[in-house]
Amino acid sequence: MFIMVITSGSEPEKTLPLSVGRKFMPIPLYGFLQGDTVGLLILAEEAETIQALARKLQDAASLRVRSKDRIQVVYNDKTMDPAMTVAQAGLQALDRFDVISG
Amino acid sequence: MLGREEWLPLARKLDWDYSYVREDEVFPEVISGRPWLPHSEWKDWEESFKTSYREYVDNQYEKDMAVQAVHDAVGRIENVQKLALPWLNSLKVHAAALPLAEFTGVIGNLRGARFGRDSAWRTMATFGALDEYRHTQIPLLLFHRLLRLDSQFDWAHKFYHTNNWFAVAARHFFDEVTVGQNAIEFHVATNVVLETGFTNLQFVGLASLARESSDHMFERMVTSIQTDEARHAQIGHPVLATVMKHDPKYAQYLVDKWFWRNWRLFSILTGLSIDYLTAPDQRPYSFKEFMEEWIIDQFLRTLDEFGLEKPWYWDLLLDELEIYHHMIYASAYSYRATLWFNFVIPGPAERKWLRQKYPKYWDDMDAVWEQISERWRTVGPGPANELAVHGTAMPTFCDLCQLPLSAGTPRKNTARVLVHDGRKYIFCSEPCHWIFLHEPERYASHKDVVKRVLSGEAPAQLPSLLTDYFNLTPDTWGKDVHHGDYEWLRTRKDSAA
Repeated sequence: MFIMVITSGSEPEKTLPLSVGRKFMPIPLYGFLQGDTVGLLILAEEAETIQALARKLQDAASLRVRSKDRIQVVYNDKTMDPAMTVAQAGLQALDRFDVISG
Repeated sequence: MLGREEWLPLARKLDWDYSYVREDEVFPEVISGRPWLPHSEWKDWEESFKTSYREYVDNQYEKDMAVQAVHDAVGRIENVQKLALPWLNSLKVHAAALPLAEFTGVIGNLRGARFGRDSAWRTMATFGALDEYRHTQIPLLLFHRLLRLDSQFDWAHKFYHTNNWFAVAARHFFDEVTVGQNAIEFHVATNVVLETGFTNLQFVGLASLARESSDHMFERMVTSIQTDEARHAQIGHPVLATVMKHDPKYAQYLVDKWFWRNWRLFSILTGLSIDYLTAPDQRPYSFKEFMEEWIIDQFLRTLDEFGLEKPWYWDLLLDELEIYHHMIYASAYSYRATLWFNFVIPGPAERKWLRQKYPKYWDDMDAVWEQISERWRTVGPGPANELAVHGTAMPTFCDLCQLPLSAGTPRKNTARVLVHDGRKYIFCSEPCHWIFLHEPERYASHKDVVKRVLSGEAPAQLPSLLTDYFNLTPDTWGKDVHHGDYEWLRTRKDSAA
């Protein structure tokens, strides 16, 4: 495994360099996984689901926190519908979201 | 010829009235500090321990000779090679963080030596600047010799010249407290809070740790520095007393702000050294016990002495004693390649000790170490697997203290987002947020490492970030001291119950 700074998960092939030429600009978010010791920078796609976003954060923190199946995503003190997209949820660049046990 | 008792008061108190310029032009508020008061309000400024230049030089000579003698006796490479590996890495942390931070103290003291409001203050600040030169040169000299042993000691001189994330945080702190500060805020923040509140006692604690770790060179060095600190730290007390008399609200703000900012850096430097990088059987106390016995009690006495209140965040600070440095250490371990020293995983016996010392939140931290240990079990030990047991996503940083967003607990991180003048900021904690809101013009334009990456100022790929921006190399970036090869990891599940 090789490590990348800007990543959509733990797989290097999913690396999302912040460069021009992409069809969609990723949205940088501050992700906080319950059980973790540090917030992580997560790059979201507007069209991806909240569930996929949560999985991305779990993957990114998997060195320190064991992944759980039952989780919830909290944004602005509200629990998000996992089927909703990032755009529908209204997540903006540099917002905070939390993934907690559900 | 005047005797010492007649000459010293003359030399110390050498103020005069200005006839060609106004006093506020000689001592502008922007650089002398506020509240701006006429000299009549400062003329009774007195240091409690008085010294002449000749006495100062004689004393410092004796102290330097004592350090040199200890170095000659026990400071050779072969002595250092006998030290425990974790402690050696605690030395690397201090080797990097200490010397050039002390040099910024030279600049701050020289500002006091020119813009302090009474000549006795300016005289003492001149000695303070000489002290800080000494505190720069001694560790640079001693740690430079260790380069032959380990190239990570190169960071003794290099650290503050890099954009390593921890250097960014330390520079943000020292640039504000010393390099870019007015004389009043410098002396309150540095002498009263940093030195009287933290480092004066920290050096006593560090000397004790070093002694337990059989590191007599480091013990002598910090003891020698501490004796200077104890003298020049007194400069701040009459400064704070005058500010308190004329503007108690501002005095309270300065103390609250700087205690928090000091705590952030101190908890990392000292917390990690005591609770992780000192062998368990050589720890005279936990970091929390050290804080409670040495720092907290002393600080409360200082507050009482000046008629100041406890900072509004006091309960939060006491809660952080239980957890903050543990959050930082686990995070730093999992991003160790971004730093210039090596780490160790706490094994079952250490985790049992940590659970006893930190019962409130240790269950959550234990789960993190169990997960990290499990990764080592899965991939197996060895240098080739270091990066397989390493973070993959970019960690995030506070827009005030510039340290990782690792405040709160694993269950609930306390980071908070603020929109200010159309720009988004994030802070690790309520006090960092509060400090920013008090002086946004001072902090708003500074970019943390994440925002430098997002703006293209720093590389987005970790290999380039480490080498081109953090100034690390594969040889010098941080690793596990044992590359995951722990007896307890090979033989059984690391239950710390």
